[in-house]
Amino acid sequence: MYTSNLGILILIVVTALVYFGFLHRVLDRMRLKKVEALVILLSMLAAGFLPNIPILLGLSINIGGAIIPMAVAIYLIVTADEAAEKRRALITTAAVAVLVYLTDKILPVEPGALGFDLDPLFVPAALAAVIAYVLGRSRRAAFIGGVFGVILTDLIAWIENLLIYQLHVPIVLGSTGIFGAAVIGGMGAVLLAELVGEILERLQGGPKV
Amino acid sequence: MRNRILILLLLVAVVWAGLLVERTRVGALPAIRPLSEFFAWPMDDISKEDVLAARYWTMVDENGRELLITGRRIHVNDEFITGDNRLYRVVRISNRTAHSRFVREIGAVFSEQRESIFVAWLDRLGFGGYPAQPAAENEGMEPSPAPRGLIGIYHTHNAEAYIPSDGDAFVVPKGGIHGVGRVFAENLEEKGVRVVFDQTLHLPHDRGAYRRSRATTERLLAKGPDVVFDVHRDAAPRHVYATQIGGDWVTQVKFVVGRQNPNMHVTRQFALDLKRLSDQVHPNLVKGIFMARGNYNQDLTPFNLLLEVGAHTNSREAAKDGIALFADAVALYFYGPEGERLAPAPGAMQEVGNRSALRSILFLLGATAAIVIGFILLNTGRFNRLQTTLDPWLGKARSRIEQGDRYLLPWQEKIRNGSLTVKDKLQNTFSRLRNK
Repeated sequence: MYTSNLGILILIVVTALVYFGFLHRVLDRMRLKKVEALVILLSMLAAGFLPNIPILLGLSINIGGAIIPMAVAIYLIVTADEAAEKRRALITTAAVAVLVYLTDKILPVEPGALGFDLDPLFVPAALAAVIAYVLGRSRRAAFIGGVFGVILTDLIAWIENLLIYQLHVPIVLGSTGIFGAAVIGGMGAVLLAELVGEILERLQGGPKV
Repeated sequence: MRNRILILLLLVAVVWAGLLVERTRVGALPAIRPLSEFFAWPMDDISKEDVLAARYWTMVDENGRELLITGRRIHVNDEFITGDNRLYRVVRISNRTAHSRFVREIGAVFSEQRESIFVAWLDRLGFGGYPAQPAAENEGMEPSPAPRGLIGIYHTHNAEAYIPSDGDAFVVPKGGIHGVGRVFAENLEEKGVRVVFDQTLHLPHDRGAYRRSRATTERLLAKGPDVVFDVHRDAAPRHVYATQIGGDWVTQVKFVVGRQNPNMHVTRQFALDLKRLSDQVHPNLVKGIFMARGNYNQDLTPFNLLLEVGAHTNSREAAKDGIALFADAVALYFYGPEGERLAPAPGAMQEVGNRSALRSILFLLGATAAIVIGFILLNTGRFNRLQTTLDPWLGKARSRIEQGDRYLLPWQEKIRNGSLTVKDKLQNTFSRLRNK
């Protein structure tokens, strides 16, 4: 087993702790109390190891990687104060899905095609952050766009396999649970939006009160 | 709101146009293509037009000697360790040619220098990891009956195929690459190694395949393997990967290590160790190690290695023969000579070493600290407020540092006295020499 080495075991633990730390920070910013954020984080972690729930024709869904993050995203949409915030979230989701699908198709299969090119795992997060910020400096829209953008892209891939290749290719929505593309998409988008957003706002001389 | 949507639409259009221009510029896509072709032709690092035109990326050294031809786009600062363990770094790109500079010969350890005082501490505490203990010297390991260990194999790009044998560069759903994976698994099993060969499809054959194959990687990891291999083939002219070993023509195997993952240092060292052993077992079988952009799901475990077995222009049979030889090296690396039947891995993991793990940890913690401090700075706005925020912790740290200083004081005195003595002795010696 690869964890037989002390250094590598420490590396894995430290990586996980740093990752969870960031996730908790992100959830904390999502109109949730610290304890609530922790409970959601732990339930995502635990539920990620549960078996995927089959839907139909090869399509299945992971509880920790898709259902819980989607529930948080829906909660954020429902509790948004303004109609504009809801619109922003939905538009970000659609734009992320379309752009991620386009990068999947247009860019070469192997990462590293452009001057500044990210692995396909990190592309949804970057796109969701930029779009949500452009639309209205919204961290919540970034989270919703990142999570739903990845899930929609996976759904499109499943439909494409069905229609073009007539194949029931197994597609898991929110696969790999808390370490999956959907969670990284949502959480990464918030972190990026916050970092980039704060820097831009500071450069402009601070938020206008 | 309407303005923002307009800005967004403009952004989408610009990104799309940029992607198309970029793709056309690198020659991988005609400017306008029918929509049907857009779906029918699986996009790869090199498109059908490229395959026909045989246009690849070539890495050359200072004298224009060809080091590598590949379907992957090469960038400035990309690195490649050649078959003879020479590290090259790309310094300039012109017309699909990457001009690289020789950096240094690579020994057993990628980084020969001591990176930090922490590494020195680790060495002193006995966690240095190098030099590795050879398998035979590993005491206290009871020989165990077969099967030995567990190795996972999967294919992110299921459609990859070999033109001479499969008739096309891509065959949906399963290309010739699955045959290569099967031969790899069978050869390992013949040596008593347990193998999980996961043939899950990750179609459609596009860039998102790496996101979808994450589930497969995780499923394999849940079984507790010693290593998982993601088996691919490259896009390059036939001669690039063809080599003669023991009188037979086989394809070479290239390792790809992703640079966008926190385990990069460990994976790179693991790749280097495996290559060195393979060089002893079957010289010239491993083509080299390419440190590329990307993550390749290597963040899930440091022991996930991407293999390029030949190219689309090689025959599937040659690729199978190549991977069969590579199985010898893998079994030996993880489980020692066949007769000894050691379990678990006899020091193989120690060879990868704590040092590279520590580099990764330090890098990770450093990056985290930078981000956290950045956030505090941004949120507090001013630097002096950062000081106020950190003051309680700094206060604690200061008292500890003072404590440490008091403890170190006699030692400092000893070191100072020692260095003065050495200085005196040197001065005496020099004056004596001068007098003579």
